[in-house]
Parts: sequence; structure tokens; C-alpha cells
Amino acid sequence: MTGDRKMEGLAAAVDRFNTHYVYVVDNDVSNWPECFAEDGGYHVLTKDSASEDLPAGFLFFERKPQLIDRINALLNASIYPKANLRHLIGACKIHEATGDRIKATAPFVVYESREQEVPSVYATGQYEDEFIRNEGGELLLLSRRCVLDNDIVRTMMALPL
Amino acid sequence: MSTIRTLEHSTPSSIDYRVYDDPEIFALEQERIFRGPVWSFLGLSSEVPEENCYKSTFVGETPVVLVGGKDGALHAWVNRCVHKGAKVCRNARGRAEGGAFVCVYHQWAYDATGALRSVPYRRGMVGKGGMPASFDIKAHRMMPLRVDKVGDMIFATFSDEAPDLRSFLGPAMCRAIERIFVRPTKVIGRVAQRIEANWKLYAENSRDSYHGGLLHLFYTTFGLWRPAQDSKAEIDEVYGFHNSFQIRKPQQAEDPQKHKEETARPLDAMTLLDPTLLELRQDIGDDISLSIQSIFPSVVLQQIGQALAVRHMIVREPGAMDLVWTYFGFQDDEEDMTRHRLRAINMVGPAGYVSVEDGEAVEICTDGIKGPDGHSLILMDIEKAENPTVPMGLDENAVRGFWKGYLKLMRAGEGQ
Ligand code: FES
Ligand SMILES: [Fe+2]
Repeated sequence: MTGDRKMEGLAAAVDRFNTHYVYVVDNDVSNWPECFAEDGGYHVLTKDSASEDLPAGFLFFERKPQLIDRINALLNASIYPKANLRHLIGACKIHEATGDRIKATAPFVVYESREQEVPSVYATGQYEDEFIRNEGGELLLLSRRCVLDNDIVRTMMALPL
Repeated sequence: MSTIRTLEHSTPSSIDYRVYDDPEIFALEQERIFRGPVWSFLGLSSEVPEENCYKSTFVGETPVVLVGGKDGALHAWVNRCVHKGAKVCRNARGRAEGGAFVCVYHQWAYDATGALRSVPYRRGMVGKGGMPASFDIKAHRMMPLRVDKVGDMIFATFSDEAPDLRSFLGPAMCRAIERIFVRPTKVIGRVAQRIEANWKLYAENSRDSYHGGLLHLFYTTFGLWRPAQDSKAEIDEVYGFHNSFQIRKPQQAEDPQKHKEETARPLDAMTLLDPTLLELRQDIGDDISLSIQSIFPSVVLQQIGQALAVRHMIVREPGAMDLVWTYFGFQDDEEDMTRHRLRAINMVGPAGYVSVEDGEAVEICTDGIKGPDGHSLILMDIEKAENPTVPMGLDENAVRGFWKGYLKLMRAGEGQ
């Protein structure tokens, strides 16, 4: 297999993963942590902070148990406006592939439809991802850094991006 | 109802709902509060660390630029070109080369103090055109504000009548600020949320400890609520509109069952799989684990565990504000401490476990007060209001304090 063919194969695999990811977050959010490896990280910050190398943003999780806690809190404790989110993820770009690790980016948009309101754009940005494969060969997120173009969000940030 | 009647109908324990949404009240606030004898927060020292570093922000709805001057001096001026009113500084932050601020429209140039320094083609060309001979560059500058700081918090005022900053804050508030800024700090990140609510609803929210365990169900859901924690509330000595809440580290575990009896919501015994975000580390050098300080009119300084932040309310219009969170740490933080701050920040901010609800809470007030005239009932612990030692969560003294100061300022000049 030539390098180009290999990259195309990886890109197709990452795109397939992202298709699955949007399905999960928009339809079955309690399973969102399952998209991550056991020590999978999830970090949300603004592009403005990222470009200045400032690490703090909206959320910073380092391990899957913290993502499960997040979902448990969102589904059982937190109060936020009732809304449907709709994620769209563009085609990925592969930056690096070594061993079983893949580094990739993909652009995303999240729309928000609150009850009795016309929809609005909640966030746009880029996922900066690192993937590994589980024993079955499937991709899992070792880290997903959501870098937001917008430096402000409407009301709050609850459900995952 | 006229603006003045709306204010007259209001008392610190009963606010006429039109005070939140009347555009005339909003305009009067700009004059009597934000441009009145009040100091407003502009930024942290670490945001203008060197000469000619600047930050653009707002005082009320007025765009204001904060600039670091020579030898640690600080300058602030209204971001409005004296030529035609254009916004001179167009970036949120940065450094002005040589201390020059140049309006892009016709390139009138100003120095760091906001003084006009040059005007292109002032003398025309080959004897034609140009400004009149009587035009005196030195007579023009962007409008300056008085600037001062306590700890690393920089404030400004439009008013010559405002007392000096320390007197405006009072000794207790200065102490609470200086408690945090024990070592040089650095900004570690920023986020913001647009809240479709009047700024005063959020100002009340930050002073309202009553809602803490009732709206934010994270602690109770995960069995972490400690109703009898060792807390302390302070209100500033002069105006009563600034306040601080502090909680000491728990000495022993309490019975979460106690809280369950007081609320309608069930207490599930869910447990956090990974409670590292709640770990308390040695940081500032005392045993206070939480400190939330609301400074009138528009800033909150907080320490929640190792999450240090200022929350700056940017007042947009009667029904909209931005809440800008600037997270900071100390310059001497080891990498591991910075990481721990990032974990602790999961508790706070627009997405935080104990603050995600606040935006929604003040937005539903905005929705609910539309329609017939009415007023609020801010009565918790009113009979014992002189006693500032009630445990957190059982009084609304600080909310009434906000209104006491607010109403006094707003009625100034009405013979009150
Ligand atoms: S408006 Fe600023 S130079 Fe003309
Ligand atoms: Fe709150």
C-alpha cells in the first residue's frame, strides 16, 4: 500500500468514527464516554486562548471516568434549557500516523434548537484529535480538544460538543 | 410607570420588576452608576504586564481602553477618536508599538495616555488644505478615567467625586482582595457567556447564597452537600453593596440527610467516579476553600478550591449582558498546579458543575417578569439582618445590600 493510499484509508476510518460520534452525541448522549479510550481526554477552549497557549477553557477532563461523571451530572443534576443539539463534522485531515496512533483535525458546527425558538448556531470550531485502536481495531479518542471559533456561548455550556 | 416612580416603589427587599427591563432605568444607570461616583473593574495587572500593553473593555456600555504606562503607571480612556468618534483601539488585547494608538479612519494618532499627538496633512500640502491655524493638537485627547488598583485588580472611574478606590471598597473588601493576590499572578485562560438578562439579575445571583444548594444540585446529587459548613459572610462597611462569602475547609464529614429533609428534590446516592476535581491543595496559605466576592457594580472575584477567576459583567443592553471569566494562577505555579487548576475549573464557568445553572436562572427571571407590574420578595433573614453571622444559604442580606446601595445612587439628585 502506498503512503497516499494508507492516508486515505486512515482518513476514511476517522470520518467513519466522526459519523458515529455525531450520532451518539445527538441521539444517545449517555453513551458519549464510550467514544473515548480509558484515559481519553476531552478539553474545550477558545481559539483565542489556544493561540496564546493559555490552557484554561470551558472544560478539562483527563480520563473516561470523568466523562461518565459529566454525563451523570448532566442527566441527573444539572439544570439547563431544553434544547436539541445538532452536530455536523466536516471531513477530517490526517496530520500524523505512527504505530496505532493517529492525529487528525476536523471542523465542526453545533446548532441549537430550543423549545419554541428558531434554531441558532451554538458553536463552530475544530476538533484536534488523537486516536488509538482498541483490540478489535476500532478507533477510540485518546484526546479530543474542541477549539471554538467563538469566544462566547449562549447562556451556558451543558451537553458535549 | 415613570422611571422615578418605579425606583420609589422599590425597597431593598422589594424591587419593582420594571427596574430590570425599563430602558430609561438602563440609561439612568449609565449616568448615575457607571459614569457616577463608582469604581468599575477594568482588568488584572497581568493583562497589562508591560508598558504599552493594552486591554479594551467596557465601563457600563462605554468602550474603555486600559493601557500600561511608564514605570508601572496605568491609563484608561474612552475608546473614541476625537475626530469623528471612531473606535481607535480595535483589538481586545495587545501591545501598541511605541505606545502609539492610531485611528485607522484618518490616522489621527494618540499616545498611551490618550492624548492626541498627530494629525495627517495638518498643514495641508504645498500651502493647500489642512486644518485651520487655530487648531491646537494639545487641546485634544480621548476622555481619561481615574485608574487605581487593589491587589491585581484594576478599577477606573469617570467621576471626580468618587472617593479613592480603597475607601470605595472599604477595609473588609480590600482585605478579601489582597488575600487572593499574595504572589504575582498570570492569566491562564478566558471564556464568556452571553446571558439574555439584565445585569442586576446576575449581580443579585452572585450575592445570593440561598440558591447555592437548591439550584446547583451537583453537590446534593453526588452526596457532597455539607449544610453546616463553617462559613463567613461580610458586607462592606460604607455602602453595603459589596460582599464576600467564605467557607473553611471541612473539619469532618456532615450528614447529607439533613439537607434532604429541607428540599423537595430526592437525594440520590450517586458517587463521583473521579473526584480529583474536588481535591483541595495548599495554595494561598490559609484554610479557606471557597471565597466569592461581589464588588459593585460589575465584578466577582472567586476562589473555588484552586479555581481562581474574575467574572466581569459586560452590560450590553437592558436585557443582555456578557459574563467574561478570566482564569488565573500564580506565576510560580508548577505545571502540576496549573493542571489542578484546570480540573477545578470544571466546577465553575459557563459549563461548571456548580455554575452552569446561573445563566438559565437569571434568564427565566427575565422571561417571568414580563407582563403585569409586580415586585420581588427578598425577605430571607430580614428580621435579623443586622447579624452578619448566619450560615451561608439562609439569608439574603447581601442581595438587599446590593439594592440599598443601588437605590441610593439611582435616587441621588432626586432630593433623597
Ligand atoms: S475618525 Fe479617527 S481619524 Fe477620523
Ligand atoms: Fe449560582
